[in-house]
Amino acid sequence: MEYFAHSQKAFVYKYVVMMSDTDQFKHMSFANYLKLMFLASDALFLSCLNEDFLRKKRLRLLDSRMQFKRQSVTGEHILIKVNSSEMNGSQFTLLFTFMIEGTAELVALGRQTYEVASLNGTPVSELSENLRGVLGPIRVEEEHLVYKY
Amino acid sequence: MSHKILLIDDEELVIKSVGKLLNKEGYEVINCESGEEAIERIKNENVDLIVCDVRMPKLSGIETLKNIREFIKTNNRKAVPEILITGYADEEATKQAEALRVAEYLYKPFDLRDFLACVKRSLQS
Repeated sequence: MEYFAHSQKAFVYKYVVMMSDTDQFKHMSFANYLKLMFLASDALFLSCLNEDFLRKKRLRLLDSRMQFKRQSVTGEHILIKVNSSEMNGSQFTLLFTFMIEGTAELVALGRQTYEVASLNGTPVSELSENLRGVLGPIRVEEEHLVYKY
Repeated sequence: MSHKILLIDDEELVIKSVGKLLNKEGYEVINCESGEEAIERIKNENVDLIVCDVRMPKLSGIETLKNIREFIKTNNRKAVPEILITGYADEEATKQAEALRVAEYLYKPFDLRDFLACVKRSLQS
C-alpha cells in the first residue's frame, strides 16, 4: 500500500505558559489567549513587513474573535498554527489553531481580519508583494476546513 | 452498498464535522471517542476503512491500529486500509506511522476536500 502524507503549510508560533499568565487556579486567563493571537500575528507580520511599509501604511484590525476549547496550565507548550484566507483587495483574514504541543489537544480557534490602509486611512488597492508572499503559501479555503473559525 | 467507516477521535469537533461530511457523501460512519472503544466495536463490525487520530488519551492512535490489526489477523478477517490524522506530529509519531504503512496521514487543520479524496483513494486501494 502506498503511503501519502498531507501537510497544510502553516506559520507556527510557539509559547510556553508561564506562572504570570495564570489565575489562582493555575489556568491561563482568557485575556492571555487573545494576547497570544496578537503575538502570533505580530511574529508573522515581522517576517514580511519592512520599515518602508511601516512608514507609509498601517494595518487595521477589522474583526477579531476566538473560541475556547480547553484550559491550559503553567508549563504547557502551546503551538499556534496560523493560516491565511480571504485575500481580497486591501483585506485578508488570519486563522489561528491553538493546540498543546505533544498531546495535540485543541485549545482554541481564533480569527482576525485585517485591512491595509495608507496613513490617511484610505484602504490600499491591493496587498503588497511582501505580504502576499507570506500569506500565499499558508492560504486555505476556510469554508472547507475541518474546524469552523 | 455503502462503505462502512470507523472514525476514532477524542475531539468532538472532528467527530462532528468529519462524521457529517462522510454521512453526506453516503458512507456509514461508526464514531468512537477512544481507542479502547474502537477495539471493542471492531469485534462486532466489519468496516471498510479506519480513520484514526494519532494523539488520544490512554491508548494512542498507533497503539489502537496495532491492536485492531492484531485482532483482524488472528480472526482471519480482511485487512482494512487506515487513515491517520493528527494535530501535531513529532518525528517519532511520523516514523511510527511510516513503519505501520498506513494509507494516508493528514495534519489538522486539514481541508475536508483533501480528506474526502484520501477516503476515496484508500477505499479503492
